[in-house]
Amino acid sequence: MKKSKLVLLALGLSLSVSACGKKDSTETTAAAATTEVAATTTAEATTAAPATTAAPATTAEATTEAPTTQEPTTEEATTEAPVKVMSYDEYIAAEVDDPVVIEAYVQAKQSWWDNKATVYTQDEDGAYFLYNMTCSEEDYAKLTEGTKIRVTGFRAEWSGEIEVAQGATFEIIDGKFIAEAKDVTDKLGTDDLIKFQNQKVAFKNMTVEKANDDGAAFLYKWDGSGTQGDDLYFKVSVGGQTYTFTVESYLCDKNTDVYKAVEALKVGDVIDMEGFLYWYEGVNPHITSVKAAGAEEETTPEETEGEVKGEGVMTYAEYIAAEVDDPVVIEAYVQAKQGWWDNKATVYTQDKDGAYFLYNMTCSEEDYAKLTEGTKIRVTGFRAEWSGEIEVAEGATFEILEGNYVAEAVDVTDKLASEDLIKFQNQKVSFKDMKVEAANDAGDAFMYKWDGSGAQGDDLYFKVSSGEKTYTFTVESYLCGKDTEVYKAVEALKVGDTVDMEGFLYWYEGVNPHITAVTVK
Amino acid sequence: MKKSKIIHLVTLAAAFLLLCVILVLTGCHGAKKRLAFNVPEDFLDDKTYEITFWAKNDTNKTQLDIYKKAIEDFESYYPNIKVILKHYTDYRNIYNDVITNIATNTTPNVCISYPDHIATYMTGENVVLPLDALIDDTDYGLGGAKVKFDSVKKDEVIAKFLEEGKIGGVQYALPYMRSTEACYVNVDMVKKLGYELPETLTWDFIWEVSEAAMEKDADGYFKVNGQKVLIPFIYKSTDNMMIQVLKQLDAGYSTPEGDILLFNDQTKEFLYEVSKHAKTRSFSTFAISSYPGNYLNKGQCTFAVDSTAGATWMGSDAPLQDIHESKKVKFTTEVYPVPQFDPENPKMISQGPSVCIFNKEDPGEVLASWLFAQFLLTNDVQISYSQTEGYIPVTSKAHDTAEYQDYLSRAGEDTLHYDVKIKAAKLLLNNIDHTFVTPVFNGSASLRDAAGNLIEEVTKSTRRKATIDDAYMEKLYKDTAALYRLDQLRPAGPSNNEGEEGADTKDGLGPLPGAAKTLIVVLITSWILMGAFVIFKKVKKAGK
Repeated sequence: MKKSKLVLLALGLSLSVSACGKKDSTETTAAAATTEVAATTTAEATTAAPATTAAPATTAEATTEAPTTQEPTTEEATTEAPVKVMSYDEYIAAEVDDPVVIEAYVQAKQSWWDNKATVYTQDEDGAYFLYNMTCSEEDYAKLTEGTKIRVTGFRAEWSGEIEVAQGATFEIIDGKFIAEAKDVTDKLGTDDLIKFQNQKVAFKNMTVEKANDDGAAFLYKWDGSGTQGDDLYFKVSVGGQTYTFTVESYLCDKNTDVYKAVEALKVGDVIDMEGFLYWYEGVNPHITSVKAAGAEEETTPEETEGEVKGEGVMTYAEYIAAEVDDPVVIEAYVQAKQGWWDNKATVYTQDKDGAYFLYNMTCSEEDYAKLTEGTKIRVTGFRAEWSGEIEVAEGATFEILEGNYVAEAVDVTDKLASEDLIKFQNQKVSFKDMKVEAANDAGDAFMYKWDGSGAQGDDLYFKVSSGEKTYTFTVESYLCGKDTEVYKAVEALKVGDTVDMEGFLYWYEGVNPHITAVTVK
Repeated sequence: MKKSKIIHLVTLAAAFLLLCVILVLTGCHGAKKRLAFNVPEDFLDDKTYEITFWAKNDTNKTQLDIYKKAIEDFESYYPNIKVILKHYTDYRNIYNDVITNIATNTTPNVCISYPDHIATYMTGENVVLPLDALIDDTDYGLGGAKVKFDSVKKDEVIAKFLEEGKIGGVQYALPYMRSTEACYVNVDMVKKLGYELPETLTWDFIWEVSEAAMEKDADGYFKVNGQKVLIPFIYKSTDNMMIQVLKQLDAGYSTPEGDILLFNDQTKEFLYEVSKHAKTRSFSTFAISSYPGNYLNKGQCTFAVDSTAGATWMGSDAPLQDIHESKKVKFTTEVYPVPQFDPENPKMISQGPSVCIFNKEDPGEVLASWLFAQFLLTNDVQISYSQTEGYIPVTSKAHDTAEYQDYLSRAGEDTLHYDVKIKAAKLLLNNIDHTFVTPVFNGSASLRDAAGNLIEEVTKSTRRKATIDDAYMEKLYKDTAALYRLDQLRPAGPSNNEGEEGADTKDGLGPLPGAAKTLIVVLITSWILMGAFVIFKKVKKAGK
């Protein structure tokens, strides 16, 4: 009985997920068309609050909108009444379509699209899946792992998945919590499993089984009809029972370690996994990590996502959430130095969660020499924003700490022109297989200064295309002077060349990458 | 050793030391000094000269092209002069390069500069060429008989602008282009707030309207623009802001000799005013928030103060834009002089590039440089360059041409005649008599930076919730003076006030170096010893 139930569950899982995907997109479209005006307004409000207004204040206002909409005749009472935050038990006990207010901590972000974010959150008692919550792109960037948020919306249930329904609003509040993955391997096939719904979970010592009759270890899409970039499906067994697990491509795309790990699986491998216990007509884990069973943790605490910061030091989320001119204290690792002049240093720094641009930080020439790639520093200053570029303002101070980390360049080629790109602001990024286009009407491959008015030694501007779109990239002469390889490489470019590039995702009234390496293919 | 031998040795030593002193002093003098330039009687057409011209453009390709054309045209008159153009887009880079090249005797021949920078170049002797003799030379001076092109006469250069090139009463720079600052106003926004724009903007008006603009609706949107972002008043150059405020108030900034008067009570009073509006966020600066034009064009700024030489970036239809097309907002732009305290007596800064010439060993080369420098004042160059931005030509000769008048009359017709740019140019043309410059001396560039820093710091500190009180101001003054070394500043250089002490005065040379002092002591001691010996010898002889 138990066994047959599990088999049925796994089978149902495979079938239902594919249906889920299709239904999801259909629903999203439909929902987009019928979105409440209030939700749209809230999204715009949040989006348009870059420099001078407080994002939390905006979302706080947005939060009050839901009850107001619910009970329009009691506006005053609604705004004056203290917010009643539910416990996890109250949330679970609530009826579908009941208003809910919960506080939880972001554990993972599944996706953002059109001012809607789908997020896994959790507190010490249980997990909350936030489906298509109203969220600007800017705010989405602030939802890093551990960030505490208060969510106001309505409870929903969709094919067994308990969730806060589309259109909920949120505000970021003080607090941080990153849940430990709970080992639920022995709960598989039991009625207890549902208690862990949407939680961060682990599965140990499971064996990879054939995903189809051809003996493949995994499939792109549930029936193998997909291609790289689609959801991955693979089967794993424990105690004689086989289950279908998924790498959800929005949650973990093809560039993630887990996606690559599953693509590298072989039938018979014994693996440990982590993920979120999504539900669709039964359990449907969204796997985020796959390792050989019993593998030692190879990364140091500093190398893990959601780096734990020292006392009084902000997380990246807190830094991003801070208002312009708020004092900030961050810890990060030098990735590149842009320039030093008159005891001021401009530096690109980064940690595992995001990047910090330090503009004209107070720095002696002697100390500047110590800021080699990977050097960990603690920076004390004020948050600023300048034409969209989020930075630690001029005059910040720093101290060098123990620690070293050199970030890998993240390939953002497919993010160009997408609203997701801003999440990588100031990070070390790469662009692949882009084609050099004419930089001006004369057909030059590059220009000194943006309009060709400069001379050798000035910033270089060149155009590259990916697909049908063309972008202007820069070699910033302070970051990479005329004697650097990248400067010379760009001077040697020819229109039509195909290039791979690396650089830092600087921002000026939109994306303005500062390129540090160019390879002609 | 016999006494006579000792005396002989002492005499020899004294003579040797004296010789050393003479040699050292004259050798030193000869190594540092470049001979002053005298205008040659004739310019040699059969000798080839290669001169370098370091030019600065406003990151504007058209300006670069105009320089290139000017060189081409000049070389058609003087085929034996080859002009090598090195172009910059940043004054700081030119300045740094010139300073570096002074040390190696590799300065350019002709260079676009600010007078403040020229004052620093002049710390070397005869490095920068005084132009008075050249300007007045009947053959090769302005409008000179032997000049091959249609040279502008001295009295055709606007006297006020020419005067600005004087340092210590000596003409060291020719004006090239002139601009001032303008307040670019979103007229629609002002009207929406219920205000009528006055003929002349006052500080009170700007502050009042800016505060009124800060009103938000229940959702946190600014009522006046319906956006989440609004900075009603943004100032690009806060050093100019402070300098103009002090001039308008007739308050201290500096004396022509270089005495620092910036840190006074009127400065403080204005800083308190700035703080008041920084607190409400109705005021910000370029350094803190970015380009005023970007905010103006997005409908997020009411009053944007920037140079008239940046007019092509200002307004809904600005030909040059940094912001995405989708973010542009349509509105009417009006161009006003910077805000004033006394509308009846407006005062505004005069700024813009000037040209200086560096001295060289070959007088013919210097004369070739001068000929090219004055070619930059010819009508074609002046008019075409001025049209690239809200500049105005520096000669009445250019102003009076039909071509230039036609240009001014066609505001709004097309991109070349972009109305905001032409309004900006007219603003200065109508206010030449109301412009001023600050005294130039060695250190005046630092003082300018310090003036801006006061506003930047007060604005930043207020936004960061610091207490702005007298204790704060006292510390700010002290820190700023130290930061810009104004507390160490002595009037070592010349001033632009005619008849004032210049670089060659005693004060200008500063204290004697230690080595020179030692040599003088040795010299005096030697003479004393020699004198003592003579007396001793005479006494001894008399004793016999």
